[in-house]
Amino acid sequence: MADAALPADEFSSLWSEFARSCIASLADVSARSDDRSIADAREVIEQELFGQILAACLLKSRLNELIPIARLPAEILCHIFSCCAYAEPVHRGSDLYCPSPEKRLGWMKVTHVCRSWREVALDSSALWETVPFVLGARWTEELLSRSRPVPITAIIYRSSKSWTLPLSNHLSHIKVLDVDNQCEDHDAGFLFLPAPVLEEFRWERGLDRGRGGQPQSVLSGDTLPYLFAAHAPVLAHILLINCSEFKWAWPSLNSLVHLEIRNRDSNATAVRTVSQRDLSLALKGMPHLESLILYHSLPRPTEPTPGDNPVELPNLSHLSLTASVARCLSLIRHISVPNGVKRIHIKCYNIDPDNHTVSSVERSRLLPQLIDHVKLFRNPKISDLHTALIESGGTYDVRLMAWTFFAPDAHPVLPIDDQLPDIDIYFLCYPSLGNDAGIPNVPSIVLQTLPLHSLRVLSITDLSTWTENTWLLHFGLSIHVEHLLIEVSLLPSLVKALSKPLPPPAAEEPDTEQSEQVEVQLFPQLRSVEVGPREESESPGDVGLDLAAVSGDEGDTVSTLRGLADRRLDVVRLPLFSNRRTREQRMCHNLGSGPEMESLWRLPTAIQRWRRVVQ
Amino acid sequence: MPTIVSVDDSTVPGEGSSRLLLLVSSDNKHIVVEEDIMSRSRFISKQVEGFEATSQRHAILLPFSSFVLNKVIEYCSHYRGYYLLEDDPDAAPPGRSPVREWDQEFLDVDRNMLLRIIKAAHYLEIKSLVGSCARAIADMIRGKTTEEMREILGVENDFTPEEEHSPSSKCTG
Repeated sequence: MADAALPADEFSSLWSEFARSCIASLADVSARSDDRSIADAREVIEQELFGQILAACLLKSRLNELIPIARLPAEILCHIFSCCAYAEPVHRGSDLYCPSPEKRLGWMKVTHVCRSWREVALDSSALWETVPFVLGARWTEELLSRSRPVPITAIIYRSSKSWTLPLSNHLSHIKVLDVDNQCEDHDAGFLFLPAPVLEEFRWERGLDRGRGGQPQSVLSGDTLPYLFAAHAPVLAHILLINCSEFKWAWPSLNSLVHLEIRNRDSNATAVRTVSQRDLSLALKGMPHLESLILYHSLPRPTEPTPGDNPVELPNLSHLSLTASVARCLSLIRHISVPNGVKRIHIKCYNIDPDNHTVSSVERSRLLPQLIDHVKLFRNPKISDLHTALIESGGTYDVRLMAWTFFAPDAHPVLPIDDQLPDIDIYFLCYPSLGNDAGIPNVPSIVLQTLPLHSLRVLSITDLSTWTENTWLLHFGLSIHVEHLLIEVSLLPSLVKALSKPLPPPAAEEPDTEQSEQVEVQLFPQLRSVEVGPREESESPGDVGLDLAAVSGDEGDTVSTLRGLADRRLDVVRLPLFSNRRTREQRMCHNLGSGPEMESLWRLPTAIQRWRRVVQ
Repeated sequence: MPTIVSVDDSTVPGEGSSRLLLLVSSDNKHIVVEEDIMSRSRFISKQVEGFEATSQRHAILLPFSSFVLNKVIEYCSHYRGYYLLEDDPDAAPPGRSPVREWDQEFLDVDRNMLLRIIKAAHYLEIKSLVGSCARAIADMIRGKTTEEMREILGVENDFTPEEEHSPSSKCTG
């Protein structure tokens, strides 16, 4: 410590003296000396220089041990680095958009800050669980080696062409394989190697591939039986997107619980060539399936033959089909779904790849059959829905999604995420409910056919403007509704409607004894409101809608929220205004922080309770 | 481990509806706080369980200053009775949730104070506060070059030229 207290110039001359003493033996060597002597002298001096650089690094390391952040244990540093990894991932796009090589590294820059940070980061294999194959072969190998022995998530993006070799070598410890494959399919030989720890497999082909003239997908009817060498013992989730030549020739996948196949249009090759029998055979090899989602990927319909037993899917809880009525009906006939299935979503459309347009007559013939089969799932409301579907077959594109929900006695109030609406009404086109233009209001007609009086959970997606009268008119009889899921644009009108008494029912003869009418409010049993949009979007700013913007200003926002508070609801959920926020984290105080809002949070009412639950 | 000293019952009211704890900071400040407020701290909860097992009440000595301790108590008081997702043992991996607006204001302190708070939160096992501090620190260095990060946190570049160009070097020298 005494040395450190020396004056700077004295200290500096001390070091100069020391450096000179280190090379004192070279005093006789000059530029005129012989070559050998000069070379030896240079070597000695370079060694001294290198030694001094090392000494300087050592001293800097010592300095780093004395800075405030050095007080943090490695565990916390790792925690900070994992936050960095989430906030600043490795750049995955084209180099054109990220000219700085350092910025391409994203969070991994922390390993370049100092030795101690590098050591901490490299020692934590959990930080290297996700390996993006976008930084070239050297970096990819480096990242893969850092992640050992942790099973990793491998993410392959469209521009990564150099991933094949390292991926083949490391498939044995990949647990999640996410391939957005715009590359040449013939590079994908790793798909046919054993994947002993693979749990999730996502494979997406580009939209313009797999059509006429394009090379056949690597996942075709010929190759599919050899997927992961038929050795993926823990593979539980498969999602295939745009695999249009896909055929149902799967290897046996005993561990599979989630199968999702999505094509962007109904004209995919597989849809036209594969038979229902192929699908049934494939499903027999997936006895533990819990979730089956087929979007424009149902095969050609076939009638079951007498010897055919329906495929038993005893664990199935979620079935979602999007196809023509005939194809949906065909699948439903060939599978045996347990009564306890929680969610059935069938969306039929009028175009069939085989028949082009399905006539309304044909649709009317097949729909009752489909509904009869779906009735196996014991939902009495489905027959009403049938009527609604028929009604909607006119000019207007009105899509109704029916969500069946069973075991109503076990219907929990919270958490709301576990709730499924009894009927999810999704109006795509105008005129919609709020439109008062006087043109025929088909959605309103459809709505009247639905069993609105018995609803407990109601979800409405309608981007038109509603007034309080829209609510009162259509849902005045829905007295059992407990949970509402709505667009934010509908919230102000809802709050106004909630504050108004319902108009008294028209009585044929006035009851003189009951001259005092009891005031009835809209949704008298309402307990929670969730304000959409419910789907998370990847675009920043597209996730939530600004209630203040809908309401006009913050004052209106406050009065809207105060109106909800007055209803003493258990839960109100509002959207956030940026991405990376999940539904669980939607918090009311994102709406504003002025004094009025602060006073609102202090109300001993629903708002506080919601705040307490939602965070 | 903190040093635990016996406390006179007259200092810390024990039995009753609002149980109090006596926390002693490293600068020897005695701070009385309701047990309920500090229940977010797993460390404190374990200490209290220990009290109940031995039927003796103690002060809890903590290795950080009263200034830091008061900040932690302020945090715990604000979220008293609230369920915070990050405190759940089954919570999502760190870094996946944003810093709450109140936390952002609460953590709008100088860098050294922020580091002291995260260290105290780590010691007291308050996962949500550790998470918020970690995200706040991550936000400080997000998008910065390595040189800028060094400047922000006062770190020296102590790599040898060889290490600087070798990403796999473990720097054990």
